[in-house]
Amino acid sequence: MGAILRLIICFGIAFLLLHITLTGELSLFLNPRLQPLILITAVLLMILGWVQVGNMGHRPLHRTGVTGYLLLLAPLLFYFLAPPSGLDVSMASKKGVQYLSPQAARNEQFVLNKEDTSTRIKGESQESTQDDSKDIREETAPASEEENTETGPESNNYYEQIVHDLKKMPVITLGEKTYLDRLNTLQMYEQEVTGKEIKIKGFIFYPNDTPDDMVLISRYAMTCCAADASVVGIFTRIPKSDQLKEGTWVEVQGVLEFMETEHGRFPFTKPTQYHKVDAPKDPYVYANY
Amino acid sequence: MVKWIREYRIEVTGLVVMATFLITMVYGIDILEQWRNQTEGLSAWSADLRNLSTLFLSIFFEGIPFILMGVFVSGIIHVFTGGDVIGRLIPKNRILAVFPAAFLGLLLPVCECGVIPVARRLIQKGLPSYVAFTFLLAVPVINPITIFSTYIAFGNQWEMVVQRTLVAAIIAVVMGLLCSFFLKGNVLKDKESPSSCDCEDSRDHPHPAHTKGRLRHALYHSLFEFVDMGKYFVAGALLAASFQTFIGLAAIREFAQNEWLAVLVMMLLAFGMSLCSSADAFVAASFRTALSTPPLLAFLVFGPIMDLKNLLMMSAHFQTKVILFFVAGTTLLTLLSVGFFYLI
Repeated sequence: MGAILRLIICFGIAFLLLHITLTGELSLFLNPRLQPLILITAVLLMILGWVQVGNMGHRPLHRTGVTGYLLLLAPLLFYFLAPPSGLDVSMASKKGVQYLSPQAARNEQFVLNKEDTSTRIKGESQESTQDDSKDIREETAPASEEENTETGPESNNYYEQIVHDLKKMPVITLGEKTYLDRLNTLQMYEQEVTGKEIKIKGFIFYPNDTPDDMVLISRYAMTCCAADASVVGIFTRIPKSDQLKEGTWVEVQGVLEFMETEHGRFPFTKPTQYHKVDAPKDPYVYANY
Repeated sequence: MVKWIREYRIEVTGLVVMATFLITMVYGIDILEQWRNQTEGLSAWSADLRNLSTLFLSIFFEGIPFILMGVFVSGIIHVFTGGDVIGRLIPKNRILAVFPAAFLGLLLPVCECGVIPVARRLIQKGLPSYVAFTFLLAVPVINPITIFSTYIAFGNQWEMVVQRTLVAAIIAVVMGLLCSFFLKGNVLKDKESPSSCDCEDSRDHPHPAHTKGRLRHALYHSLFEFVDMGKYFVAGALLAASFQTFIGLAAIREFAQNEWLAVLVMMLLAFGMSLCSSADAFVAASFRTALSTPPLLAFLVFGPIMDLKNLLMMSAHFQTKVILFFVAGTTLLTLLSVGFFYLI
């Protein structure tokens, strides 16, 4: 019996991993950059399963109780009995808003390793003038690990490039893949972006610690997995009379301002117009995507 | 017919399993999708359940690659090297012996679940108990897999990795030295209690001599280590996901007002969650938005050396006075070393 359970566990979890990778559901759980790890895991599990096949007749090396097997089957049971989805708004108040101060935003830059920085800058700078990109490439080249843990000139350049791009846009949008980078940039370069037109999409969330009519147009920001997701976004003010339910997806357009909260200064926009939109399949925005 | 099946049972089972797997891969997805659309009702029943499921699975998916990596490596090492190699490498001098023991994990990467039977085995083979204890405390943190997963979890930053490794090394070395002065005599329980992780007992099952057989055996070892560690890991992931769903990280933020309280709460959490050291960094990273570095460090350092499941496994092998000494020592040292971080 134990042998069969072990077989089900190995092949079942391998199947589950392949299944979520193929259907793209993986991004509901993990940052897509971890996908190779998941595929390797599926292969390793199948190897273990195969080894179990070869040892069907042998007695087990040690005893495992029913509870142990049940626990290992739990991921399969959960997946099929309580089909997971993107986190919904009821989690938002439990997760809490990630109030990134400009200082913290600067710390977040360390996330960039050398390769990311240079490739991403190359990608971003295509629109910019040649001189700019040459300067940046020169400065990124000799980056080392130590430099990455300090506020090196190279990481600032990355954000300067973004703010440069943002200033050139007629209406600032945050996009999907660039969401977190651009949001951080807005906080870091408050002076330069104030007064620009901005358009932003997200779900409605009323944080507990802000005035009643204050709404956060939110997204879940995921670093690695859904467990570390937190709420990010831009504040706006929508009249209470509109009675938007928490979790409704809206697109808001307005002039970008900044407002003072107990956690620091945050981007805020007074909407000139807004309208409801359909919830996207993927409620998350990913760090380091 | 029956005789034929018995003779080729391995091949037959193999074929059946592969066929089932392939069929499930090809047709199963559609069928399961349909079935899941019908059971949507179950999760509509409660948003909490759906969120719990999402969080639990995301922690599970994230941790399982690292657990498998650890299991494979340690399974192979278990069978191919054996404990005596380590015994020969350790010098006789007390202080000289303790330091390298703290970094043995870099050569012998076993997770915290695998390290207890290894440490017990080493003591049985005549290694001084204090060296084994240093090893026991340091290995779960100072090994390539944990270092790698901490690095990934904290967004490719070395800062937390370095702090975690250093603090763990200091605690392990100090505990080792303390043990060498205060713990005399037999530390193991006299009678060998049957345990869930007796893989080190070669008398339990002889290890085959030829290489191919040994590889098969190593892999079979890995399978059982996976089952043994996996169950604790799943339990931990479930606890952590329930905590996030029903209590919420925002609650921890309340404690974050008082840093010392936050440190204590995180140590308690680490103890209760009993996450595998190769995956706990991801959980710690999820608290990153709510807490400053010292409480996170307390979680990351205390969790691998002292938690519910380790305590269960240790109490099966070691005497009660040793356990008490361990709990008191590691708790105090973690508090001290984390407190040190406030000073600088």
